Amino acid sequence: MTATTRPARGASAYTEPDDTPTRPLDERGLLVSEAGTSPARTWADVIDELLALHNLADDWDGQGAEAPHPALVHVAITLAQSLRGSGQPPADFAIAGVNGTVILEWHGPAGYREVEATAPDRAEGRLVRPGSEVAEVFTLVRRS
Amino acid sequence: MKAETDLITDDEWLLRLVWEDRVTDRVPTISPNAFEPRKGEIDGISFYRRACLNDPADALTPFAADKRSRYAIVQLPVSLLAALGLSVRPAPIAAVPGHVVVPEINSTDYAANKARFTPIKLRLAEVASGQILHRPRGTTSD
Repeated sequence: MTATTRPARGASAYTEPDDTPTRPLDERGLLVSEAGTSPARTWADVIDELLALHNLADDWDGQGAEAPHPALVHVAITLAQSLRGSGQPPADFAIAGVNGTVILEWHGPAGYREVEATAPDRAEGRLVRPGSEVAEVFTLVRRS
Repeated sequence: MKAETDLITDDEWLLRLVWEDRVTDRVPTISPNAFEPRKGEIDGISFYRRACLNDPADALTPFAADKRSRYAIVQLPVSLLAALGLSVRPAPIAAVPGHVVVPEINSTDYAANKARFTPIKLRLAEVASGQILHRPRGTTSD
């Protein structure tokens, strides 16, 4: 399986870095809006879950998982607020990765998307379209 | 019951412990990131052979009581892993019989190219969503 790189749209506080096809992110774009989500879930739920990640300590799962760095939680919250503001559906999962990152996931008819906050100004995205065995990759960099 | 020294066969089921925030009552039920390797899992992510346990919950034995109740247990067929090009290798531990690892999903390779593993994690989660044996306390059952 291989990875490809594609633009990501829909997160107005974020843009793509210079090493990928560059353009401002479109408020009406489709970072996630094709994906669909549970109608009962709201962005407030997502942001509450992200805020709760600040309470995690190292080994929060009893198997040695790292606590997420507060700066990465902040990245995820900022991204969530930006997506909420642009009318995108809420993430299906908002979780701490086991290695100190923060991950948002969307599942739906257009595929599976995950965005992982990996640095204080950056998030990595991966998209798997239905039936595909390849993940498309995108990077979001916070506008200064 | 099988001994953990018995060969692993394609008709067996493997148990995976899934932290509570990776399990929902919605669809999708299981997060693909339930299969993310930890930095220390250089030999691959952990599973337990169901055939080696009296009860799937025995896989929770090594955890402190306050952690045990926060895990779900899902099962996946060995044949699924084989179909995805994954192997299963015995990795005995003292606390629980039947501990195995999937060497292809290891922390080193994962960190080097997460995208390569995304479709694999997704497929494992899709199947696991229909194979939940035990839910964390505080969530509803199917």
